[in-house]
Amino acid sequence: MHGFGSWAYGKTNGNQYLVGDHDGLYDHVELGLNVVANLTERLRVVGEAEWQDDPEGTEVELHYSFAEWTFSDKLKMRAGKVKQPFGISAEVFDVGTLRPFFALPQSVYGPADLVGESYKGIGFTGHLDLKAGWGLTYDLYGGGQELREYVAPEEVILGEEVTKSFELERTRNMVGGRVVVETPVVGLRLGASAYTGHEVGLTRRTGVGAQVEYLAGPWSVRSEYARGTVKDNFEANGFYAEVAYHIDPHWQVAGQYGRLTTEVLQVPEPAAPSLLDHKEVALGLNYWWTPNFVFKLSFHHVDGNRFAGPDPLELAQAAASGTLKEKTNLVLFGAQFSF
Amino acid sequence: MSKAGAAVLSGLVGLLLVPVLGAETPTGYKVVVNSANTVSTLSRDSLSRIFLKKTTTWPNGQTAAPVDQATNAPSRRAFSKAILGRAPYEVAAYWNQMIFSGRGLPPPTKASDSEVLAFVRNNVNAIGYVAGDAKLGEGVKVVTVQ
Repeated sequence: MHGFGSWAYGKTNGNQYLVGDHDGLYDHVELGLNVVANLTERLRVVGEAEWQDDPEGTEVELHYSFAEWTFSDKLKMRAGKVKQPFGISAEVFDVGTLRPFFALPQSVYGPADLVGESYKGIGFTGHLDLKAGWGLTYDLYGGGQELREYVAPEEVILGEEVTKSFELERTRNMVGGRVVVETPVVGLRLGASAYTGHEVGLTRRTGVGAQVEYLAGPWSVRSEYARGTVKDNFEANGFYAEVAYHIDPHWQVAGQYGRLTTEVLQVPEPAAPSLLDHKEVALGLNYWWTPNFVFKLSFHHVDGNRFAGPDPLELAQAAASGTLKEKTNLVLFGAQFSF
Repeated sequence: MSKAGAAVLSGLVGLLLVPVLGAETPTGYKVVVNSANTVSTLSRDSLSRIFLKKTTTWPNGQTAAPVDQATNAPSRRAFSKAILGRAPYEVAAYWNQMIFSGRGLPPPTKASDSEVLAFVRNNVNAIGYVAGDAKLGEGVKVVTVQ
């Protein structure tokens, strides 16, 4: 059994964003448990669940539960609810000890319909060793997908009543894949991901992404681009670049820039365009007690209200009255661990 | 440039230049397999792939069973740097990624050379590493790394 967890305090200069608000929030706590059983040399079963506390209560979520049959290193079959192989971090969405900032870059991994956390169905994965230090890891999958979207800004843009903050968007008959190329330069990996399927109640949903990652010695450099579209409904483009440097085995500094733009196709010129945009600059300072336990302090400056804003139920009124604060500063302090 | 600006700049340059991670003297290691294993030579790349479980079988098709040393063992630090090309904490991050993405588990860890040797002696498909001056005893042989 393995697991991970986190706690964070966040305070902003007005809006709600990530784990913070104007008064300061201590409430974000989460714990995930991961179990693996190797039943035979070829068969193993894997599951992961997470409990998350926030001001609205405790949520329990099944991240994945699947069986994997190994034909060879080049071909493994998976069936069940499987972490979606998309980009660098979709498979490890909530594991804080695998990244320099408390949360993943919101421009790509925020709740904006770009990246799913899992698919339900059947997939194939494998690894191929090529010559001269090159290698290839690949995934191909099909089934259904759920995306968790922060819908309040889009509802305000469409002039609809905001009744809830988040919505699960379901996609059926989906196929997707990812290819990651290992290069002879130790730590340098490049990749591309894509999926397409039919969104329930709408039309075709498609997501594509590109990634580059360099993890070597004290350096950790990551950058990703993702684009999501629902035909005749919306388009979103997200990008981030992130650099982190270990000053010594304990202290790490980090910087991040991200940008997300969204278009609601029914409303080409929205009255409050900041509701569809997110631009973020973040700086971080971390102290790693061990690779499995870290304290993180970060400052985030956000321009836009795609994810940062007042209480969702007050969003429409703030947008209509012109009192919407487009800029948000967040100070976040938290601890994350894994075992 | 002001004195304060110069100080900040020199500090940043200093951060970039100080080779702070993994600064240590290698104490050496040797790679060992069971005496019945027909493999006597491995490339550094093949060995790395076995310990990172990118390759999970020997050439004869049997499942390879790598075994690691404790994270603070000098031989592990030397092996990680020389063979895996990463410090132990980087290898730990690699395995965290594999564990939590549901893609694999790290090799089992043994607390001492004698425990590694016992594991290898009792498992025909095992492969491990011990300190360069460790006495192997019966049932275990050294693999040459090219």
